[in-house]
Amino acid sequence: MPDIKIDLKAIFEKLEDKPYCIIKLSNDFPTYEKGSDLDIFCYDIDDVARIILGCLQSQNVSVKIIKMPQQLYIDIMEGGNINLRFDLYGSLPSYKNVMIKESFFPSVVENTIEFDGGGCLVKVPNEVNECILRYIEYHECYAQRPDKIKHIDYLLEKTENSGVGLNVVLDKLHYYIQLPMVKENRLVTSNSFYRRTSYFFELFKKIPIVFRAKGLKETLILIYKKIKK
Amino acid sequence: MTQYFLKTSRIDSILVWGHGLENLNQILDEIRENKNFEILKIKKYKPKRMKSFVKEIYSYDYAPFWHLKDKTKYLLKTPQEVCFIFIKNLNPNEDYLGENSFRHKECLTLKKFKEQLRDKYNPYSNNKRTHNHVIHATDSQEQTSHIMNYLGYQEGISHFESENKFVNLPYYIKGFNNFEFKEIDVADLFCNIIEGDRWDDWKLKAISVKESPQYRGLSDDIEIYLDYINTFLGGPLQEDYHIHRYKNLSENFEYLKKPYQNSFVIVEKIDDKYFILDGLHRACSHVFQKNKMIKICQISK
Repeated sequence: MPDIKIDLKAIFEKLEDKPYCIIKLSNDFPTYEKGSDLDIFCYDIDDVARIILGCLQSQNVSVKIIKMPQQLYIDIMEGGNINLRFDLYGSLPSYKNVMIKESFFPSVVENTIEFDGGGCLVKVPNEVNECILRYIEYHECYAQRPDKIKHIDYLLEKTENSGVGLNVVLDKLHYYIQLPMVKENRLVTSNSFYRRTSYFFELFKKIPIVFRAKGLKETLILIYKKIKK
Repeated sequence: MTQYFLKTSRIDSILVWGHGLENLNQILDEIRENKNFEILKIKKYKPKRMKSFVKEIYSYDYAPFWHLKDKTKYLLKTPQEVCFIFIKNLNPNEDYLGENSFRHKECLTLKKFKEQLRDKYNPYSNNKRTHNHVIHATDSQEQTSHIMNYLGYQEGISHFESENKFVNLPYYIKGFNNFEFKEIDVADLFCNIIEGDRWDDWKLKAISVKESPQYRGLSDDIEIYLDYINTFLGGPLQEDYHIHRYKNLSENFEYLKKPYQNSFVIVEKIDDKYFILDGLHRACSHVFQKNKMIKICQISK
């Protein structure tokens, strides 16, 4: 347990009227491990940060804020280390392994349910969005973090025991997945001289490979055939 | 039934010509007293050539310059020093006035106000107000943007946009992404103050807060502060500093009291010294109340 105790209830009471959604809320909430973070999706990160900062100001703690274009960290510091981080997102995080449509972000913020963590009421994603977010997290990080399999366990548990339809989750996930644009990467010049030169240069590069593989005689025969063609 | 109003605002500019500068303080007071306006910036300016300056100011006007040529002739004989007062117009009651090619958008609130100022401060001849206007006011926000560009603010009226909303940062503090909120000893607080005899001839000097004219105005004599702002307002001091406002602030002052809990003194750390970038008046009032520590917001890039 950290030495500083942040009154999260006071903060989230002030945020009651604001559109926000806490992502991947820990089961221990409102208690937390030292160094943990609260990921929050919201439309106006500055506005939410202003309210959180106002509350922290009266709680007399040292705070650091790092601002990025669509993200903002509010770090509560304790002896040079982070005690708790509010990680505010103004849009979807940039996933590396999956492309999600931007419109999924407002769908998460608009479709929240209330979670009562020991008297502290907070907004969390509804069950379908929670499953999608956990699946994305698993897909994004599984290669580096095998422990992320816990998200699949959660998904299976929800679909088997809590009445969340797997087809509903997958349908929504498929709708919000963006397909990559197929691009033709090969550049072909319209100049015939450059095109021919490039073609012969590529052939020329193959000569040593063919020579090593088939010997001199075969190589010379192949060169002759190509020139004749 | 609940009524909803769409509240809009725009940025305007009031230009005090050279022959009106003797009444600048009264004009500023009139603007301050008007609830429709909020002074954002006061900038004195010395045009190199009055003729081209007048042409530049009116070049964005709705009327062609040849039409204004006779009207503005008197300006060529006025002192070669002007003052721009940029204001936030909280009630831009805009309407279209004039006919045909002279039809243009204008703010009726500002139009009425500028006529009041002209009635008071324009030169009079035979008990009749002359057309030698002491002030010029913009008709539209586009004209203000044009003036801003002329004065070297390439971003136009966006110059007045604040970058952050979570802490009250003035528009002139931009490009900072790291903010640290902590409590420090007031003895570590420093500020840059202006030294010199005129608004256009000065240099900066770094001193501790207790040596500043702002603090000495509270601890010794308010005239020290008054003299300081009278000398440099419009030059290096471009915010709306005013003695009554400072007095009101310092009386019953409580730092970071609700609803100003995010109005931190903004500092930058240079060589283990905390230099105030915004909030010197608040810091002085806090220190004057014999407080030893102060919560600040330290910013860095």
